[in-house]
Amino acid sequence: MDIINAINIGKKFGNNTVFDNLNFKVKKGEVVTVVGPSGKGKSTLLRCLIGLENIDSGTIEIDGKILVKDGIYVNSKKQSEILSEVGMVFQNYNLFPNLTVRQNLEIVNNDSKKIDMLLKRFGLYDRKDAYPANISGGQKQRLAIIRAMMLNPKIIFFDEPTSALDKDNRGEIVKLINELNAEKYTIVIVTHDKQFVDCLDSIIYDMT
Amino acid sequence: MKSKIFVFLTVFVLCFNFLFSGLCSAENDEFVIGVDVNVPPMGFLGENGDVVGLDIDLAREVCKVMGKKLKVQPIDWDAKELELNTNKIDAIWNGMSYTPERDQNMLLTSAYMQNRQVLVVKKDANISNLDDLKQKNICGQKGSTGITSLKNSAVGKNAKTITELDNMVDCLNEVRLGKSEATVVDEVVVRYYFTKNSLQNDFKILDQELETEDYVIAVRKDNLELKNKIEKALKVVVEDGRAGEISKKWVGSNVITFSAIKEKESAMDNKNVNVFSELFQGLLVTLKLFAICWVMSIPLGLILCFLRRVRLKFVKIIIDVYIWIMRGTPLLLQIFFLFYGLPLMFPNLQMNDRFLVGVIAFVLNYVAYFAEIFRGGIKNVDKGQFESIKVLKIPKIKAMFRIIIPQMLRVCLPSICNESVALVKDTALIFSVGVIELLTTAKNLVNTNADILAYIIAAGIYLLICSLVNLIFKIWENKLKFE
Ligand SMILES: Nc1ncnc2c1ncn2[C@@H]1O[C@H](COP(=O)(O)OP(=O)(O)O)[C@@H](O)[C@H]1O
Ligand SMILES: [Mg+2]
Repeated sequence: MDIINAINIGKKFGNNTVFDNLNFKVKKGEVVTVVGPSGKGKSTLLRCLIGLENIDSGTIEIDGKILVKDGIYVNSKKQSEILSEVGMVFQNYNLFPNLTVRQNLEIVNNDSKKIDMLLKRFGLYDRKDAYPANISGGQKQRLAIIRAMMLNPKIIFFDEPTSALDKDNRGEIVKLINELNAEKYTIVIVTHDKQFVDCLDSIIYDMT
Repeated sequence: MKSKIFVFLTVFVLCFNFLFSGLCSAENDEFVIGVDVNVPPMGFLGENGDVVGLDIDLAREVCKVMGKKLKVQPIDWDAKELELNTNKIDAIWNGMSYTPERDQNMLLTSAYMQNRQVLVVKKDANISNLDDLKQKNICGQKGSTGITSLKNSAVGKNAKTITELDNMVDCLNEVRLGKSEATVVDEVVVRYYFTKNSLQNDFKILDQELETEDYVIAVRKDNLELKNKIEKALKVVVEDGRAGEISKKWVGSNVITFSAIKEKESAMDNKNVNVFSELFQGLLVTLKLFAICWVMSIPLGLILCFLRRVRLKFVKIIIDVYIWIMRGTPLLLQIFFLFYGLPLMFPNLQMNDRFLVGVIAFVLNYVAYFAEIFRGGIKNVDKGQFESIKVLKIPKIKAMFRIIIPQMLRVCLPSICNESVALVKDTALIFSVGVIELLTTAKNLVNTNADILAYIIAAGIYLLICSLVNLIFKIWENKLKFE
């Protein structure tokens, strides 16, 4: 069954048509990597799928529910409900710099058992009172992943997960993604990093 | 390039020249008198903008005798002692009444005329002395010396009614129309008014007065020589009849009765004003005003800043125009507008609590500045933060208080600090609606004591408050580092 089903979607910024009649499907439990040179609209695709940009035409279904049909969106309450199935790890993480590691999670969902469990599992428990400015790049990425998991989504998006990491950390993110996938998370990764894609066992969607 | 530098230097030198020529203007053959230009007929602005009046004419004749050139300097009446003691003027000559305080702070001449609080009745009225006013209706100008002395006198206590009206002309009309039998007025002023409008045949002034003030001329305490010179010259002018002419010209009769003999009993109870306790009272007002304005302006500024972002175009336009006006006009003008202007436009909108009007004006003004600061702050918050908030479905209000505002504050704090320090100093402007705060208290103390100490203490207090505000903001900034 398709957990993401985008049919004939089109997106324009003014006169700039980013994509037109694009079809994008992801099955439950898959790892999909969206590849292509930069500026091709990979990030825009993710942003459309998670409701940060509105598409101009086409239909998007998430987990069998219609988000937008033929360019017409369902009401905002329904959108919000449908989109809670999707979490996102931004390219530069967009952590809240004024909140500590733990507060970054609490503000999303104040489930302290879950927070403690995830912090321990991702090796951030002893940094739980630090501010984002004071943790390493890899730790920031793990915090962003945990934060995306706080609303219990079925799908997690990654935008350029290797762009802010040095080469040695690449193995770690590959391992994390495989672990998440083993836990039944569906994963969509946008990247222009070919070596990274080679390390992953994924379905490749080429936007070139 | 060279010619530009030359032009600049020339202008610079010219400016300096101008400054210094201004500083060194006290020529020796000039006699500078300080005058409040709102006191007809003693000294006031004539039709062509010159200062004219009985005192001015008299001073001119006295100058002729002394061999000096008269210069009339308009002054702020509240600062007259200071003007004198800092050598900005040589004498105060402006229908100034004798008071023991003035006698202590300045050197006063003998009285050159008396101004009496007198009662005016209709010419044909059957009233010739104060006793005839028993059980009669008397009116007077609200808040005047006359009405006060009337109320304190036997005449006032035996009157049937006492009515207070807005001005002297209204009082005279009351008498003319028979609504009141008599009105209490300032003799010099009413005589001037009668002369100017040829009303001598409509009214008469009763001989007995309620109260008499002596008009004196003041010079610096150490300037006995000048005082003697003025008195000598005055005597000449009075004796040769010139003074009488001047008096007749302005008030229709000779009220100048200079006599050098009159001795004043200088024995006044030495009211030792405590500079510190008075300044402390002023400080309390300043602090209260600052605290209220600060506590109200910041949240309101935030609200305005967020309202501006609402998707309704007209809300944004209204707010922008508001901010534009508030930041583009003087705060003093806004205070005046609120206090004097609004009641004229909307007579029902009488705001008589001066402090409250001040607070409203300050808050309205500072809200605009704070809103503008916050606008800059919110622009500085990364777009990604808003996207995170949206994707993570964090409720709007929670996100605003826990994420957006703290990040805005971190950026804005230095500007907010500057604005707060400006507010501390701006509080002094509330004097313009008659609220006595720290600076006004200091000014009054300096005037009555002729001693600069109060200014120095006030400056110290302002410095202290501003430094404290700075310190608090530094601590706050450190807390908002998020590291
Ligand atoms: N908010 C935006 N406004 C206007 N144009 C945009 C915006 N976001 C992206 N674009 C344009 O859309 C195109 C695709 O951008 P993007 O999705 O970031 O590409 P990629 O992620 O593949 O590098 C680019 O031409 C970019 O300039
Ligand atoms: Mg991109």
